[in-house]
Order: sequence, then structure tokens, then C-alpha cells
Amino acid sequence: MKRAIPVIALLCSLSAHAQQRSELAELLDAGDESFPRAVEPRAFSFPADHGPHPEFRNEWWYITGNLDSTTGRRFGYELTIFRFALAPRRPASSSAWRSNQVYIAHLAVTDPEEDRFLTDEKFSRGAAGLAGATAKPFAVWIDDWRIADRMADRSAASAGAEDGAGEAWSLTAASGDFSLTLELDALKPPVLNGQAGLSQKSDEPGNASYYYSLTRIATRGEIRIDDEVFDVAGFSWLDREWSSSALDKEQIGWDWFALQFDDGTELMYYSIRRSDGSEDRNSAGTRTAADGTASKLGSDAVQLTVLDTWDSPAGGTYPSRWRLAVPAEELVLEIEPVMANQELFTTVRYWEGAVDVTGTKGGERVSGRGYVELTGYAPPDSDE
Amino acid sequence: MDSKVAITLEHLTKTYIEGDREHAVLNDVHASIARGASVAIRGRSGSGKSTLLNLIAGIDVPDRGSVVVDGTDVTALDERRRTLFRRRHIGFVYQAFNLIPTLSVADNVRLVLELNRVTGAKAEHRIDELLDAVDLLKRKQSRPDVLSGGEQQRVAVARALAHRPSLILADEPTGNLDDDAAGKVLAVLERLLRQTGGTLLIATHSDRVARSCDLTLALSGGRLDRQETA
Amino acid sequence: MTVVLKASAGFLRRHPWQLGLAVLGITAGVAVIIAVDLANGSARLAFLESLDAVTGEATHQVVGGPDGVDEAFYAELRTERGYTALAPIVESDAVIRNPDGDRVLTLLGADLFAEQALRDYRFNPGDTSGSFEDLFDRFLTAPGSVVVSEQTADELGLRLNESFTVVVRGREREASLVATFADAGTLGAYLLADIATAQEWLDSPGRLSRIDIRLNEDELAAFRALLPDGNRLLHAAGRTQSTLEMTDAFMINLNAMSLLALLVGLFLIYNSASFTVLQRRPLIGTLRALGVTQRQVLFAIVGEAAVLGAIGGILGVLLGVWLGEKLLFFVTQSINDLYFRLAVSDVRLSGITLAKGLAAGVVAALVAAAVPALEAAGYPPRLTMARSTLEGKTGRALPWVAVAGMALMALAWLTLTASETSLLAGLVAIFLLILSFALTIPWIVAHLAGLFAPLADRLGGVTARLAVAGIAASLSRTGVAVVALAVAVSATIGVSVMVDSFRGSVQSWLERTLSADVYLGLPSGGIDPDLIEAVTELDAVEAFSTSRRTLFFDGDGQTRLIVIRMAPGGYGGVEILDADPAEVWPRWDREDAVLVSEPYAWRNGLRRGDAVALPTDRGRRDFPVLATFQSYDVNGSGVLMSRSVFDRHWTDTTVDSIGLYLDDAARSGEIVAEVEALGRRFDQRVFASSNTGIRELSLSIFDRTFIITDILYWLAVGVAIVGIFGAMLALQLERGRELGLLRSLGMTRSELSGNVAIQTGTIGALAGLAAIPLGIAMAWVLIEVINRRAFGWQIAMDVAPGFVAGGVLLAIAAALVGGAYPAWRAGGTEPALAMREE
Repeated sequence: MKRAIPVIALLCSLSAHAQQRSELAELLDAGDESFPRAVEPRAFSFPADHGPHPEFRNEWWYITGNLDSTTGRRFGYELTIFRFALAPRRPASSSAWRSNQVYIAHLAVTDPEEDRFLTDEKFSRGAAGLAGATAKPFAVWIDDWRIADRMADRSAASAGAEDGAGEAWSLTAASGDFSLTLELDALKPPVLNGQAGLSQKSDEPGNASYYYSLTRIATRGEIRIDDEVFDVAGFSWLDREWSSSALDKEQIGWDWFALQFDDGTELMYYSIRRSDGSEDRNSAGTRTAADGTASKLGSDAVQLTVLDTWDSPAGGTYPSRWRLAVPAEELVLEIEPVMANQELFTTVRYWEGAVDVTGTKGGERVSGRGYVELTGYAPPDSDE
Repeated sequence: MDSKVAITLEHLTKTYIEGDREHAVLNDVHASIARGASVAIRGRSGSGKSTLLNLIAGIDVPDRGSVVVDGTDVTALDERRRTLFRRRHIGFVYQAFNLIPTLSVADNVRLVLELNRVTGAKAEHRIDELLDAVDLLKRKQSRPDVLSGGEQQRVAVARALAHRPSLILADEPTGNLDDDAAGKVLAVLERLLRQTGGTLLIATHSDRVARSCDLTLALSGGRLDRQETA
Repeated sequence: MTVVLKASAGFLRRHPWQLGLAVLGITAGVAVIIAVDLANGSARLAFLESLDAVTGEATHQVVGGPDGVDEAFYAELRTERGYTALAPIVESDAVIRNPDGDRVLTLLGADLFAEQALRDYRFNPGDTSGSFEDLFDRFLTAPGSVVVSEQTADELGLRLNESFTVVVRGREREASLVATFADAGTLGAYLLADIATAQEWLDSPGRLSRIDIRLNEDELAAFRALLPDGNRLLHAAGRTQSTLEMTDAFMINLNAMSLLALLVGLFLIYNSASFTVLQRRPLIGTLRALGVTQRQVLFAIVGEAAVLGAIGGILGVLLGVWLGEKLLFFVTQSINDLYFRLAVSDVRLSGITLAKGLAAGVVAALVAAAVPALEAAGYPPRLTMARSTLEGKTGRALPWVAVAGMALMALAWLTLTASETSLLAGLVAIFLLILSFALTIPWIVAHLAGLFAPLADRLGGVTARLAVAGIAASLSRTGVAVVALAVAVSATIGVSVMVDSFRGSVQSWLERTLSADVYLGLPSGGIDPDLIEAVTELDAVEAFSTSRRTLFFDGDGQTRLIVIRMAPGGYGGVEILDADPAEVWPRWDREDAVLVSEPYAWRNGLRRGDAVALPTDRGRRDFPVLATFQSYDVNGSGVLMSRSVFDRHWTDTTVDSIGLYLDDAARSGEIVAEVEALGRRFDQRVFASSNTGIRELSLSIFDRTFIITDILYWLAVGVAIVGIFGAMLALQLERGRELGLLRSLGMTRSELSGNVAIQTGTIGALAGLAAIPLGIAMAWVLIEVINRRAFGWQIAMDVAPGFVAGGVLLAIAAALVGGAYPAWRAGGTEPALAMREE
């Protein structure tokens, strides 16, 4: 008996967050030779690089944020738009629907007070105006989920900041029972991660991405859940990454931390896990100072310890509390999710949630908030 | 072969299986009947009277022996030839009259003529002649079912003799009739026989019928014996 | 009671023929009903399921003008209006070449991303063709990638990952099978491709055939407000319904034909039941004398019928399933020829169908046995009635039965005239008509036989007369057989006359309508404008016409708009029925007005002066009806509009077909070749033919449509033959004594067989003669009532003597076939029989 494949399963295999090793390897490893690879550092240019890089196999716009309502209620949110090229080139066609680009988006809101975690997902081809990304003016969208240059959206003649700092964007996304309408204003210029934006993911040359972040984005607007509307404000974080090949077969997942401290600094660290349980030596991070200057953190500069775990009701055990230490800075942090269950049951299962950070730096108390992403923990085949 | 002899039976044997035993209805019967004779055959029910008539008519075939009618060995003929022989040479009268209800009196007679290729004016004339002889000319166009039993049997007699058969076989012809009707039937039968000159074989229980015959044969225990008229 | 049953069981055991015939009658009738029911039901179900599969959770459809919906509106709904449960569809016919005959599938251009909100298509992956991702990649990015059902792939010899040629809009396209549907053949009529592939193949960038959308009631008003001019929102279920309704008349007609077979079967059962009762007269008389009550006798006979009905019903269902599979092919073919794309993989057995068959068998047996059972119950104790007594009774009843028949005829007439539109009333009238004739036929036959008898006498003498007289005299046996045969034969006469008249009308209509010498066309429309120019500029072409057909679905029905640019001499090709053509045509050319076809006018109750509302690109608009015209097009008939008027209200410029008027009609063949060559040059496979070619093609489709009708009435004739067989056999058994007498009087076997054959032949002839008036009456009702009510056609009735004569010959032949064995058997009657005493 042949196994019937629902279309949804086809879409599933496209997600970069596939936690099954084979899928992950297929997608992120040993990419098609005809896609260009991230082999050496490149010159970044903004706002052009906010736009798409369709010649690369995959790319994402990853926005997470911690917000508070005027009534003192705490929220976390995530809007991620992924772009995948199914083939290196778009076949010539008279049809606007012909495309090699696929867009997938995940939307989530964390509402710890009500112990709610709301999610939604969209798929579309990057064609016929249904989904896509443009650099000038900046916009990336899928259906009516949209992140775009606020000024350009309002009037074509934008005096958008040429230096890349001070991006003024809007973010809108609506699902059946919740929606986000936010204004995003970057407070710091883009931070280039890795080696001037070239982020090596495994030992093999070319298994790397181009990776930058907007680490502190002032955010205000509205969150609607059911019929309740909350005026909210806080900080968001943008991760931008594109590549054609990143992980190798032994790399089974990652833990990613994006932390924003009350002192105006930020810390990003991703820990790549190998199948033997060890941390891959290509794990790395970036420390951003209040003034926006960034420095690379190698895997040997960071000590990550899991303090607690959480068993997903759907199977699989996720870490759920960590100690993260940067000895060189005398920085010791304890990171704890604001809510245990922030697992997304999109076509691929992963955990992505808001966290609180407390700790000390050189003996002085520091605190902050952030977002953590955990992939590769759901047991194989448990998502069907 | 003696041309004076109408029927010769030799070694005639017929056996029926009844239940699990054989029953010899006729057992090596020998007889010869002179032309123009009228012969009564008597015997109890089941003694083989009908079987004997059937064998003579070529309707049934014997297990052994032969039946010679007018010089023709009927038992040596195939079914079709036996039928044609019967059609030409034999006339029947039954106890149950056996007229065809859907045909008129005249047509019942005509049927036999037609089978013998007698048609047209010749046939009409013969029909009238016969019905007149049996005293039923007035009922010529009637259906059999409006006639009395005696009348029906008279029609049957007319039918049996229509084609001037050399042999007339009658099976209890008066069995279903009262004395009066029976007498009439026997009378017309005799009258017609005189005209056609055929030989008559009557299977009967009736003394009266037997008395009217030249000769009586008794069938009993599979054997046919001459019986003196009482 | 048990002794009574035992007695009847014993009787039936000793009369296996009676038993067999009773069961056979029920079996045959039930089988035909089941077969038609299954074939119809399976076709319907397959259509609904495939439509369900492609409708999915969509509640509505956005449709546009003839050129569809602007895809920008779709993008707007998604990116600006926040609608998420919607999917774009680009649809067209696609022809797959195949040595066993081209197969037309529905090309479904879909966006799988959008589909998941509405539909759940499932695919079988190739055996070794790689990951899901590969399959999906190719479906999306490799132009020409398609998916068909596994069965379709098998039938057409398509293999995974191999390419084949698909003809879309006359252009050959290369397709590659990347997967098959993982379904049970529901999507057999579909060829799924990415929407981009479909647009490329159709050469219709920017246009969608429709948008499927899921909306709830309170969203409707707001959504309607968004619709651009010329776009409409349709209820998906309504559209399915109106598509299916097109086949209603077709299927009702088939069901009526199957009921005819059961009716004929019913006579057969009555025949057998009454005969078994007749033969058991002495037995029943004895039982009654022993104290068995009337009610017990009644129950015994009825119970016997019920058991036989159940057995026959079960056998009939089995036979019907087998027959249904054969019929399904023809039903599917007709639906494909006439209505829509349909692929049916196999018959679907439903419990209801099976129960229906079983119930039909039992009920028919009970109905048929009721009269004999009552009669049996009425037998006085011990009396053994002479046969002629019964015949006498039958004979006396005949005129009264005939009077009842006349009354039914009047009722049939009332039913016909009670409603002017009801198809059902028309069919009921036909059945009343059949019943009325059935009741009258024995009386007619008795008289005819009376007339025949002297004739038979003249021709064949007393023996022939004997045979013929036997018919009238034994009507209690033969009457029913004659009726069954007459009904079956009258159906063949009626249907043949109807089909022949219809064909004649269609033929003369085709001759008139196809006024151009050469036609070229694309069934799905869209002839290349350059090709049109090249063709019409050929030297031999003096004038040309163009046409475009487009289908508008609306709330409760559909309208086919035929847009014609008439050639100067082409107006005569359309016959105006209710107005002066000289006045109509100039106005039709100039004004915003239309003509409507006769069937369309009939169906929609339109008359000259009324208006037809059509959705133009700028919204709905009323077009006055100038006149009605004649048309026999099954579903093409509709509204006829001048191209110049159309161009004022719609942007669509598509042309489906062109008629070429040549300077010399004799050059048609040469021009056809030239047009085909031009088609190749412009890379478009147009269908080109002379007008005679089209006429022949049309008539061959016409003929094909009636194959199933032929099959059904042959089945009815078959059932009737079985009836004759049974009746004659019974008659011979009953005549045993008489036959024996004839044998003893000197009739040979062959003479006796011949006699019986004369009898059956005469029965056939009588049935055939009796069938003539019924046949012609049926033809009249079929033409004037059924066809008119079902399809709106006016057909000139033409009774060809050949069909009438053929009907009589068929009846004789059927009777002889049915009577062959009984006649042979009669010849074997033992002469000794007659000698025995009762």
C-alpha cells in the first residue's frame, strides 16, 4: 500500500524548522550546487538588504518581542516570514503565478496572564502579489500579514533613512481570534553577526548564512485577542538570515537566545546540538553594547547549563530554564520562560517563547527579557 | 398371408414395472382376427385391454412379438410410419369421447378427413353423410360442449369412421353413457361399420356390448382366450 | 396451514418449469430495474463525489464574464481584505491523445497553497521518485507537471515521471505526470496542474475561471459589495445542482424504460402464478373439501408468491448488478457526449438499491399473484371445473376488462392534459396508456383471432384453424403472454418511431443550420486571432461567420449565450419560429436584443417581448427577446446574440468557431485541408470539417445517445420472449390431452410441432398487430409530451411504415423464438396419453 501524502505534508517538508534530522539535513545541508552559498563575508547595504535575496535557497524575517499593555498585562509575540526557493531560477512564463519562491509565516502571541499561547501559520507562493518581499520600499508579506516600511506604505516618496538606522516599519497580522497591529522603530543600526555578517554553522565551508539583527526595536500598537484590544508597548528583535546550506547531518537542532537587558545592551547566542549530545563548536553569539557596537561570542566564551526541563504533552522534553554565563564579562544569567508551554504546532513542531532574564554582571544585578527558540526536541513523527 | 385376416398377434408380450416388481400385462399372446369381424375384449380393470389396443394401434410398442394389421407388421415400423399407418388405417373411439372442444362437430370430423387428404366438396359430402348416419346433421355447426354425452360419442364414432379405416379400436365407448345413449351409439357404430366394412375391436366391461359382437376374447393373467358368449 | 404449504411446495417441485418461469419473470424485471438504477445512481454519485472533491469546503464561487475573473481581485481579497478560505481555479477541457480514442479531461489549474483551506487533495508518491519535497517542487516549478487519478493513468497508459501530450485550446502541450491522486477514482475526470501551468496552457495570463470561497451567511453582503462589475457570487451547491439537473430528464427517461421492463416482467409473473393456480384446481378443491379455509388457500398462494418474489428479487439483484456494470458504460458515455465530463470507475452498490430490487420483486410477485390467489380461494370444495367453464368465464369478462381499459385510456388523456409541463405526468400517462392497452388487448386479440380463424382454415385447414382457435379459446393462458409481447413490441415501435422522427428533424435542422461550407472550431474556445485572419483571407472564402458560446450560471439555472457574427448569407440558417425574419434580423444586428431557442424559451417560460437578464461586464442587464428559434442542441440551446451587441457589453474577444462560405462548395475538402495546414502553421490544432462532416458527426453522436434506449427495449423484448416461452409451454402442458388425441388420430411429430408453431406465430402476429396502435400512441406521447417536457424540443412525427412492419415481424419472431422449445416439446407428446382416463 502506497502512502497517501496530503498536501499539508508536502508543505511540512519545506519548513526550515524541521526537527527530523533527515528533513533538516535535506533542507539545510548540502544544498543544490546551483544555489549560491554563503562562503565569504559580503558588504551589507541597508535598506537594500532588508529586502529579499531570492537567489539563496532560504531566508527569513524573524521578529519577536516582549510587550506590556497600558493595563500592565504582559505579552510576547512572534511573526516570522520564511522564504524558500524551490529551484534556483523562476521558469520563464506568461503566468504571474509561476514562481520558484515559497513563503511560509508563523504567528504567535504569548499571554501568560491567561496562560494562552495563540498561533497561526500561512503558506503561499511568492507570486501574483500574494506573498513576497521588496527592498525599496521595504516590505515582506504573505496575504495580509505584512511587515513594511511605514513611510513608504503611506506615501511613495519616502525619505527613508539611508544609513539603515531608524527603520520605521509597521507590522500587521491577523488570525481568526487574535491580531497584531504594531509600529516598529529600530533604535540601533543592524548588528552583523558572525564574521562581519557571515555566520558559519558547521565546519564545512559554505555551510553558513548571512546573518544580521536589529536588536532593539521600539514597539507600540495594539494586540487584539478575541474581542479584547490591548494598547501595548515594548521592544522587539529582528533576525535576518539567508543561506543555501547551513547545517550538517550530525547537527540535530539548536537553542537560540535573544536577550534584551534593562541596561540597553543585548545578547544573542545560538547553541547547535550534535547527535551525540555535545554542543557544536560552531555555536556562537553576539553581544551588543548600548551604543550599538557589537562583538562576537564564540562557543568557548559562553557556558550554557540547563536547569530544568518541560515535558511537552505531545511528547518530547524541552529544556525550560537555563544558566548562561559569559565569564569574560562576569555575566551570569538565569533564563526562565514566562510560560512553560510556548510550543508551536505548526506543520513543524518547535518551541519559541518569551523569557525573563535575571542575573548579575560583575556582581551587579541585571535583568531583562528575551526570546528563546528550541528546535529538534520533538520526537520524530510525533507531529502527525 | 391370408387376406381374410385383419389382425395377427404373435408372441405379443408387454411388461410394466409397477413399484419394485415386473407385471406382465401381456404374456406371449397369440391371436388372429378375421377381416370384418367385430370382437369384444373383456377383462378386469388393469387386465391390459388398453395396452392391447395401444399395441395394435402402434401407439405403444411391445417388448416382444409382432402385430400385423392388414398385412403390415406395425411393430416393424418406425414411429413416423406407425403414425402414418394409424392415420390411414385405424379409427378410434374413446370412453371420454375426446372431441376437440374448440372445433365444431363438423370440424372434428373434418380433422380426420383432412389428415387423410380428403378436402373440398368431397369432404363436405362425406361429413354430411356421416353426420346423417349418426343422426346429428342438425348439430353440424355446434360445439361439442353443448351436446349430450351420447351425442358427443356419436360424433366420435363418425370421426372414427370418417376415413373408412379398416380397423376401428374402441375403448369402453359406452362406459360413460346410460343404457339408452349406449344403445344408440352401438347402433350407429354398427350401421357405419356395415358401410365401411372395417374390423371392430371393442374393449368393454359391458355384457350388452359383448353380446353385440361376433366374438369375445377374455384378457386375464396376461393371456387372451376365446370366450363363449354367455 | 403447513400441510397446505407442503402441498404447494410439492406441486412446485413437480412442476419445475412453472417455478422457474415465475422466478425468471421476477428476476428479469428486477434485474433491469436494478441495472438502470445502479447505472444512473453510480453516474450521479460519481459526479457528485468528484464535484464534492473539487468543491471541498467552498460554499460559493466568484465567477466573471466569458473571460473569467481578474486574478488581481483574488490577490486583493487575500492581501487587503483578509479573506483566507478561498482558492483560485483555472479550468478548461484538456484532451489526452490515446490510441483507444482521445480522452477529454477537465484541466483543473489550482494553487495548492490556497487549496488546503478548502480541499484535501491526496497524492500517491511515485515509487522511487524521491522525497515529497521533490514532488512538490516539480509540481510547482516545472511547467507541465500534472496529477491524474491512478485509474485514468492506467487507462491512458500514463506513467509517473514520463511526459505525454495534452491538447488544450487546440495547442499541443507537454505534460509530465508527477503523482497520482490517492483516491478511489473520484477525480477520474480531472487533470490537476499548478495554476501557472493552466494559465500558460490556456494562454490566459491574469485570468481565473473562478474563485472558490468559504463564506458564512453574515459575510455575504459585505463580500458582495467588494465584487467588481461583471463578477457574480454563486452558491456552489446551486451550481452543482443545476449541472446535475441537466441530466434529470435523461435519467428519468431511463428509469421509465426500466419500469417498462418490470411491467413486462409483471405480466410474466401473473402468467406463471395464475397457471400454477389453474393447474392446482383439483388439489385446492380437495383441500377445501377437507376443511382448509378460503383464507388459508389465499395465504398459501400469496405466501408462495412472496417466497418466489424474494428468490427472484435476489437473483434479479445479482443479475442487475452485472447488467448495471454494462449499462454504466453507455450511461457515462451519453453523459459525456451530452452534458459534462464524467469518469465513473465502477457501480456503487447501495443498500437502498438492493432493498429496492428485493422489494420490487416481492411486491410485483404479490400484485401479480393477488388475482389468481383470490380466484383460488374462491374455488368451491372438490369441484373440478372443466376447463371450458373457465374459458367461458374469461370470455365473458373480456368486454368488461376492455371497458376498464378504455376508462384508463381516458384517464391517461386526462393526465396528459392536466399539466402542460410535468414530465412525471407525461410518464404516468404513458404507463396508464400501456395498462389501458394491456386490458384491451385480450379483447382485441379474441376478435382478431376470430377473424383469423377462417383465414387460417383457408390457408392451413382444420389443423391451422385448430391452432388459431386455440388462442382465442384459451385466452386465460395466452392473453397475458400476448399483452406482454405487445407491450414490449409497442415500446420498440414507439421508441423507434420517436427516435426516427427525432433524427429526421435533427437532420433537416442540421442541414439548415450548417449553412456555411466549412467549419473550424475549438471546443474550448480561443482560436488564435492570427489564424482567424489567415483563414478568412483565403481566396476561396467569400464570407464567414464566427461564433462564441459561453455559459452563465445563475441562482437557479444556467444560460448558454451563443454569440454570432453572421455572414451576409447566413441568417437563413436560423429558423425563426414566431416572427417575421425580415423584421427580426435587422433589429437583432443593431439593438441590444436577443433571440432565444425554443427549448430555452420553453424551460424558462419566455415569450417574444419578454427579456433575458444577462450578467454583462458592467453588471446585469435585460435584453429583450425578439423571437424564438428552432434548436435541437442538447444544452447548447439558449440565447442567441449578435457579436456586435456582445462586444458592446463584454470585453471577451474569444472566438470558438468559424463558418466559411466558399465561392464553390465543391472545394470544401480542399479548404478543410488548407485550414488544417494553417492550424499547424499557427501551432493550433483546430477542428476543421465540411458541413457534411459535421452533420455526420452530429448524427453519429445522436445515434450513440440512443444506444442505451435500444438496449433497454431489447431487454423488454427479451423479457417478453421469456413470457411467450412460459405461456406456450404452459399451454402445451395443458393441451396435453388434445395433443395426445391428435397424435393418436395420426398427426406426426413434425405436424404437431408445426401446428404449435403456427399457434405461436399467430400469437406473435396478433401481439404485433395489437402493438401498432399502442406503439404509435406511445410515439406520439414520447414526441409531443415527453420530449417536449423533458427537453423542450418540437419534433415532427413521422411514422415510417418500416418500423410498424418491423414491429409486427419482431413480435412474430419473438413469439417463434419463445415458442420454439414448447413446440418441439409438443411434438413429443405421447399419443397414449389421450387414451387414459381422467
